[in-house]
Amino acid sequence: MLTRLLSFFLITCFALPCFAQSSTINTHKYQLDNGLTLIVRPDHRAPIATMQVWYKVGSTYETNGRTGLSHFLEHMMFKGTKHNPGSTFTDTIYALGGHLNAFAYYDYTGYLQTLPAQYLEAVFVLEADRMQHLIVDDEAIFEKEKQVILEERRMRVDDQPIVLTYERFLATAFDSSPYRVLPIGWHADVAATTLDDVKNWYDAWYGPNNAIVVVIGDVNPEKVYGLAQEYFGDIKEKTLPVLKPQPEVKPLGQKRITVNVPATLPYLIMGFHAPVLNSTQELWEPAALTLLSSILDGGQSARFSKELIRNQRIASVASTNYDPFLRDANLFTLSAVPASGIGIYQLEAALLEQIALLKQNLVSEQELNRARKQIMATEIYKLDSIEAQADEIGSLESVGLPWDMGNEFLQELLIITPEQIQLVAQKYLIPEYMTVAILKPQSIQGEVDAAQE
Amino acid sequence: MLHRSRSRRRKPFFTNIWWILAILITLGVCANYFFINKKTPVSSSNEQTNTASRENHLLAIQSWQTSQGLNTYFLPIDNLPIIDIQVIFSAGSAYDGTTPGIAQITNQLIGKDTQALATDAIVEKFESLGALFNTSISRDAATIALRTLAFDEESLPAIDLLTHIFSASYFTDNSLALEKEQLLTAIAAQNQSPQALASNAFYHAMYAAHPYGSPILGEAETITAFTLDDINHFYQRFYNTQNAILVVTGDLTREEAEIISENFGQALPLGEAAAEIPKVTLPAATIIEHIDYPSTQKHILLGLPTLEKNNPDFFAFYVGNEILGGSGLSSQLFEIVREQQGLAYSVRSQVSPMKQKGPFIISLQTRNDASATALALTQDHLKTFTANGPSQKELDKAKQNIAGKFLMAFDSNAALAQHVATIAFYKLPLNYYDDYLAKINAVTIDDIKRVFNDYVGSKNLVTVTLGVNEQQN
Repeated sequence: MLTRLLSFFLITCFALPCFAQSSTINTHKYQLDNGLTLIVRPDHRAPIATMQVWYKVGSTYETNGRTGLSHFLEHMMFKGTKHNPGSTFTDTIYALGGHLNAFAYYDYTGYLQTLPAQYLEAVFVLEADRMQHLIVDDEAIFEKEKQVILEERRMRVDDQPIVLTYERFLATAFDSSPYRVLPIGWHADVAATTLDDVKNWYDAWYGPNNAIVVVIGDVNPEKVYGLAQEYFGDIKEKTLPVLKPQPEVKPLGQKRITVNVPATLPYLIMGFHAPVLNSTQELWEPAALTLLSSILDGGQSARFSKELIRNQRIASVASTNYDPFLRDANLFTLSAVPASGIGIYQLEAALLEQIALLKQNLVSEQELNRARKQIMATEIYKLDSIEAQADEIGSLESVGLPWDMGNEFLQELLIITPEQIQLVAQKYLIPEYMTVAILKPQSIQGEVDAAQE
Repeated sequence: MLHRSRSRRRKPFFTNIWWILAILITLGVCANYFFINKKTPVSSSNEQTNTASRENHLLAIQSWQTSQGLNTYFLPIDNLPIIDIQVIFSAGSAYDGTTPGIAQITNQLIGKDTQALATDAIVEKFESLGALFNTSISRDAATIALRTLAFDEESLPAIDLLTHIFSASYFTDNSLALEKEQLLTAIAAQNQSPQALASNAFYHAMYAAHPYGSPILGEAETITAFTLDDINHFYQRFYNTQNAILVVTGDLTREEAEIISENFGQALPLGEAAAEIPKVTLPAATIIEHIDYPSTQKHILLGLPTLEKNNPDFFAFYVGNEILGGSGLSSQLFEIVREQQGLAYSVRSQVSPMKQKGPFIISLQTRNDASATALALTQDHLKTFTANGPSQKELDKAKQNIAGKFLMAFDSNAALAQHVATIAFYKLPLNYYDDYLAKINAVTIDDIKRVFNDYVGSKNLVTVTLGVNEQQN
């Protein structure tokens, strides 16, 4: 165990945030002439490295009738190039002892591989190749992949009562913003996607000046920069499409829906339109909302657990969600499952009461300190995973925030006052900004019987 | 599960009620992320592990017994200011007896009250220190885990409180009622999850009346009836020094670890080790079950009980399984079912050795009207694989992949803590990983054919489907 850190750190600030920050001193950012961003952080704990390529394109770049395109393209990125046909990409990473995955999100699409650090060059070869030479021309392969994506949708959305509710909730909360659609897209849009749609999407958005490469692990930054120069350096810069802003229209009043699906548990989700770092000049507002989220749901000593679950026995589960690191304004959400014998409207009233308390009274210093301490500890625990570190860097840079925004934000969190938390509650958690979705379970057995008639 | 949060978490080694509830409630938010492939949880079955360049042993685990007879396993890791402590008891759901759910709820109740402190005070203390306190169970084990910062100011009070939870253990009606509520909600959540329902039905079909056959969370009926006496009785029987191991990993010295273990040894009562979990009887005939459920997909599971944790055939079976369906986008089943036919998003196989024979499971999901085709394709391929094994090229590639993964297994304190816990709990040799790769490399095509025939091909398979039975096309 340690008896505190170096006295140098003790003089400037207290130990925890400084420890978390020490990793940032060790982070190197480069930009190639063609606009590609490269960020490297050595972490020599194990002889491995993670290499991730993030493209600044996701479902919020899409438009109505063409949803799910970024996700579809992400699947097609594993179908081969001229030089590395078919499954060469996955086969190569596999043979080198690595593992890979990829995902599509609202604001970006990420390709992640982790492998023994000595083979890092192989990933650079493959990723640079598929940034330029993806082949999307085989109708049969395309149609099969479409079926796979529809299976993914069935498994992850259509057959999950809570996700299905969440999908309809988003579509209600947002009127004009593309955040209203899940990244996988609507079933009919996916089904109607053509090969040319996906090819054009790739041609439009996949270029070096729209990509961020993140490498963390047992590596030398200058050598990694050399690899980037060698394999990505010659790729031509692209003229990127001008992204339409698609802002959310001003909310004009409370919205409310009911979702009737076969299920066993009632569920309620409530969202309020709220700013994120990218949508406001006021850095403190997203910071105060983040702390507010932690006051309500930052562990078992937070208010939801203590009040709603343990003391009042109103909810069996209750949680908040707020992500300040998106490209545009989003939602602050509260969701819960009622305790047995508690009606869904009683639950809703209890959640609203928690919000009212935040507006009426200042949070205590003790609560605030607990939230700050947890946030700082989480920063250190995050250092235990090189992939989690790369995730943070990639997602921040992908939405136009500097990779070390996390630390700047951390500093902001430490100085937020109880008054500021009260202010954001009063400003944003208001009926005009509110959308509520309620899942009303229908009998599962009833559905089974009906299907058999 | 397809879980991705901002700091991507590994799925815990054991089933955790809070984790299930967290998934339930954040499921909507998690649905924001769409992966190319179903994320494979890191589970106890994934033996593909480890290394660190130590002189003689890959894992320099130190082990001792306290004056009260508590077996302790210690691995110093000094590159991050983190300490992980796990107290693991042979008290998983396999010890439920005639009261399904008793192991789960007892485990959940630990840390809720002590003779001196109520829940609010305990959670407030841990969380104000930035410590993570967590309870979880599997079929074999019950775990109490603490992750704390290694600075004395945080670690000493956090570890003291953990010790206090055992030295002043106490259960209250109030907390029991609350944990019943939590557990019943988790069960209800499983009852609206086609995957969880199919999995529970599959375990039941494979193991019948064996303790592994009942769901880890238990059953609503028995849970509702539990009294404090039931909890106290289970706790007194299973939570003692002779039925426990202590695993300490992270940024502390041997001397500090010894003090911690001695204190824990004193905090726990003396008692007896649990009786062995009974041997598994394999199904006497082929079992095929279908459950009607109003889902758009049919969930298909096939397999049977196969290996004990210390079975030497594990290595050949593991390598074979990697090639068949264990290695994500690179497996044969993925190629045949997903890439060639577009019939599923997720298709995989896994082998999960346990104290007694753990299962080999192939699982996939496909739209209801394609399920007969997908099932036939999978069954045919399993037969072919059992008869012919992989090609030499496939075997070579799999070995390369496993060697690479082995390098990566030491990538975090969390992973290391898990490996030490597995070695300690399953009584594997402390140098288990030293010749791990040699054993993997020794596997031949004939070995794979032999073990797949011995454990799968020559036995009666269990098949469970869940979904809507309709006209096939």
